[in-house]
Amino acid sequence: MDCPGFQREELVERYLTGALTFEERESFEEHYFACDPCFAVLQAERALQAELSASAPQITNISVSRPARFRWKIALAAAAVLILGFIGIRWGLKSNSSPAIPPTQTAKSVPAGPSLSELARFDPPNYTQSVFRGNQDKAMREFRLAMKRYQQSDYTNAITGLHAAVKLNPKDPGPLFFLGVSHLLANQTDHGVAVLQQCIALGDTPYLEEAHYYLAKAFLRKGDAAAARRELEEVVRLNGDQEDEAQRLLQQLKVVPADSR
Amino acid sequence: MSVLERGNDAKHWQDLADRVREGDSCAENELTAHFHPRILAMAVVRLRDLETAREITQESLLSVLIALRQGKLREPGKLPGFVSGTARNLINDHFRSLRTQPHPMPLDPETPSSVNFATEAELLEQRRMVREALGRIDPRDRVILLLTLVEGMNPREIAPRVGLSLENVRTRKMRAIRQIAEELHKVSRKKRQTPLSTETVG
Repeated sequence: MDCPGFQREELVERYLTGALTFEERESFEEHYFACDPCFAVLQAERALQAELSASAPQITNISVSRPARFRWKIALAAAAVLILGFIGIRWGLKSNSSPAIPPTQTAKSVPAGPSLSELARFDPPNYTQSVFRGNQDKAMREFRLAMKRYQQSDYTNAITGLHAAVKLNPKDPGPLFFLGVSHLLANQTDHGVAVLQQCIALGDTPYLEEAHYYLAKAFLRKGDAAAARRELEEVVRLNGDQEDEAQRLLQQLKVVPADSR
Repeated sequence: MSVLERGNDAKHWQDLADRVREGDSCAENELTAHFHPRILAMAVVRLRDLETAREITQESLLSVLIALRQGKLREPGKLPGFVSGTARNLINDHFRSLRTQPHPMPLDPETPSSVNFATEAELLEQRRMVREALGRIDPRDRVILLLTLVEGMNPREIAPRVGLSLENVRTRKMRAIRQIAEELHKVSRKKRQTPLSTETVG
């Protein structure tokens, strides 16, 4: 790896938050074993990460004031509403010919639907360890160890183990499915999408329906409602356990504003 | 010239490896001083467990020193890659076995095992330095750092949450990190110690 120079901070952040790919991580590790400037930034960001984790509640309690340009825009909008309201009242008082519109009609507003990011939320799918008798192959052992991490919500380390399991047996849909989901849970949406698509490409497996469902969630997170809709329609077509939930999400997607994220 | 000053120089690494092979204890100290914090950082990032990371760091250094003393390193110019590879293998072994106890491997009395280990007092002092440095930056920059380093969000996701443009988030984040890194570096140079303790837990 060449020294990342001015992009050093972002590379270090991605390293610390587990967002680098397997290869990128190894390459960066090899690099900072020799590079002092990169290692100094890594040490500083590690210390910051530890301190920020410890003081997260205090920091998030600080209300972040919106910049002035937003404040005057809000003030301008409020003034416009007042002026229009005033004109409306004056006009209503003058024209007695037409009956007043019932308040229920004027007050009626279109219900605000959930945003795409709200629809994208999900709970980690459950995993129950099966009891196996006899010898397990190496891929299965890797998978089971990784899933212990997954059950502890340690998604970064689950990803490492699941990668190893997938490498040993790329045709096993279980490790692929949970690797995809773990990427999503670790906020690595693009990786999650790619892995879930690989899982779907394996064809009719026990994970097919769920892979489509969580892929839809990933697309919702990315703000791609059309792709999410396609995946949810596929879930409905498969007619399985997730069908009702997919139908519900499809209904909600109809009222999501086009530019909602 | 120290390892830290030489950086990535194949000839320098070759020289260092040769000196270790010849039994030069200063070279062993130099090697340990350079690689100990790096192995520990790698192990903590991957394992999120300081105690296990310490054990793996010790095991890695011991393996490296033994290999070098026995002249087993084929390409001494690639010493950093050899050390990181050794540490990575041990970390992967740990994941495979999920062992809870370290191997009962006795430490070679000649291995400089205590180099760069910070004392509890030093750790507290460094923690205080970081906290104070964080306290001096703009509150919004603190939120940006929190969302970046703890929540793992990218500037595009952070921008709408803090009411700033994407570019502004990037600039503020980089400026805050550099400012804190420089402050820490200045303090540590005054105290003649490494920029930060090697024992910071991520």
